Amino acid sequence: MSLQILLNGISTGAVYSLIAIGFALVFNILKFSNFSHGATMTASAFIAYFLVASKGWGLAPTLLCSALSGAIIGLIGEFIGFRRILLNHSAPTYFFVSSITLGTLYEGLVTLKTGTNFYVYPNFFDVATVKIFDAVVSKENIIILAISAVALIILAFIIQKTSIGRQIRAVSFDRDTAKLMGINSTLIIQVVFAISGFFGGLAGCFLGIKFTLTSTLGSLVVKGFIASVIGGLGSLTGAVIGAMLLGIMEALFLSLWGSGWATIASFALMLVFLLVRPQGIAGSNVQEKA
Amino acid sequence: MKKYLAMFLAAVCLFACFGVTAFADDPIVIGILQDTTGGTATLGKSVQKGVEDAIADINAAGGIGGKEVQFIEYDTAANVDTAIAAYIKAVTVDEVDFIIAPPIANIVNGLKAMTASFDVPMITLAVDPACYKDENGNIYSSLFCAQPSTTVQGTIMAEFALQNGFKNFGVFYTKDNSYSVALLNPFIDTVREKGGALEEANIIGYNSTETDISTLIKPLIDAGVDAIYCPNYTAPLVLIKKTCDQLGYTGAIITGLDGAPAFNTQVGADCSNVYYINNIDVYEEATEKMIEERCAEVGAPNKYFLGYDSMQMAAKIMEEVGTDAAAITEKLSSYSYEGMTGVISIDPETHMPVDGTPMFMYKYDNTTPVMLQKYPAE
Repeated sequence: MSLQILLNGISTGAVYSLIAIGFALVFNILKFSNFSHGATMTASAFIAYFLVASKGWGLAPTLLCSALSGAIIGLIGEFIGFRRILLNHSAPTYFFVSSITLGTLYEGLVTLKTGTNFYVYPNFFDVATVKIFDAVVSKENIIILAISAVALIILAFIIQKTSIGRQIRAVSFDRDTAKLMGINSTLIIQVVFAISGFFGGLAGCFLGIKFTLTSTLGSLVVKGFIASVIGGLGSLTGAVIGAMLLGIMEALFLSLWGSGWATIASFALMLVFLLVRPQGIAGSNVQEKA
Repeated sequence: MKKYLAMFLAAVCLFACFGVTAFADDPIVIGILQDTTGGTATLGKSVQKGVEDAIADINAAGGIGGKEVQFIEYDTAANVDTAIAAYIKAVTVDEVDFIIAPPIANIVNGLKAMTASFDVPMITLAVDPACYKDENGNIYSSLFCAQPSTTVQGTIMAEFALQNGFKNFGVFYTKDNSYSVALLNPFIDTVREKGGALEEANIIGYNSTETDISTLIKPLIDAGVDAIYCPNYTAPLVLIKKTCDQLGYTGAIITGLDGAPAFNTQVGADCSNVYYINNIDVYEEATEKMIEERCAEVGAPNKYFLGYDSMQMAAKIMEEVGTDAAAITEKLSSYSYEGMTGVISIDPETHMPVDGTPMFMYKYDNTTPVMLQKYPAE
């Protein structure tokens, strides 16, 4: 495998990891796969496009707007889509159904505003490439990779070293016991949805920059889900490793077999992985997932 | 009371005499079936505006045979199923007399079998010859095209590229797109026939859902080709151009009609290495004037003119033979019309324009279109 393919794979994997983290965070707490995450990405990216990017305000404000929009949409989603189900102690299947419904709703709202037209973020970077040995890497991809890495490191720090992180871990381990210990689990769940949405917003914006903005951009959430499964549903470290592996595998398969077969190979690999190691790389418990 | 009634009747009479053009009963209804949302909406909206303006001009000149022309708009949403549903509504519920259909091969390929069931004459702008034939090669009788085929356009682009010094080519096309696939062989065959180099390994097809364009296109750049031929729609073209720039590719990118504006504004960067084919000479006096006066809101002016010409051609024929579908299709099968995009002479064998309808090759100077050559050469 050439260095170029490796770097292309890492660049794609960085965005997948942001999507996968959003999945993993919510799964950790509520034990279901939140499929409204894709539409959250789309809606955030479009909000940032219309409010900030189209007015020529540059990358940082656009990213911030998209991430904050994602956080707010995450909070709204938690309230209208999952709070009641949570309070009623309903089966995980209801969370799953609600997440699909919520995602369709968000996508419909985005389509009302944008139609199914495509939009292009303005060029935030001068066209510039960096040469690393034989490989050529765009400045855009380097910055996306760097910001993703920083965001993931900050998240790891929050989860491992702060009080709120400890509370998140406690709620994810056993919600009822955490509650008995005085932790406001509803608040923690809100925080988790906000963080998940924040990462979804970042991912949506990066996808919009790398590709084009369409109302179906969120369909790429499937990639984050695959990464999350490969890594071990619920494991944050596993999600990042799974995403990187998926990005690199896709780049490798594309270079070896071309378009079409690469997608088939990626999904086939996921099936094999589920057969051989259903708990994923990190070995998290998948018994309760919807 | 009588006084008010008399005033009202006088006002009505005045309005009838001077306020509007008086038309005979039974208006002629045109169905404008276009992609006004979806990935090709810029093209569909441009055609739609061209047809609307043509209808306004026709009505201002007294309509068709004294009848007013009305139109009903249908959105395909760039989706074949939606397009078929809209087509059925147009011909069964709204009973339109004529349809102007989109410049999108995938949509017209999906619609073509339906046209045989309803026989409502339809002009489309899809350039793939397969859009007008069934699986046995028989032509659909009521389906026509108003711009040169992919065979003509692909050949022109190859000849232009060779004449301008490009020798070694790569091809990057969308495998699941009829338009892209149809433009492939005319280009490849012409390049090879006329001495250009195009290795099999340098022909790369990809699925439109693919996200990692960079890995796919890099081998062409590494092969050191002079030009990459990209017969793709606008959205993937924008992505290809951005990716090529990021990978440091400085060679030429030769595109089909979708490289025409608004591609340059959507890329938002220097497009000086992009060449494209177009139906109009934007610097020709009459065309330039019309663009200035009518195309402020039009994303793809060439599609505006194609829509305008298609409607004017349909009106001319209905002026001659009325609204009988069979009479229209018979007339249209060998009709010749001189419009803003040149002389459109329909070939009865293909239902597409015969060779000779003008096309123009352009490049960008930064983001400004520069017309380089007219085909066929005069």
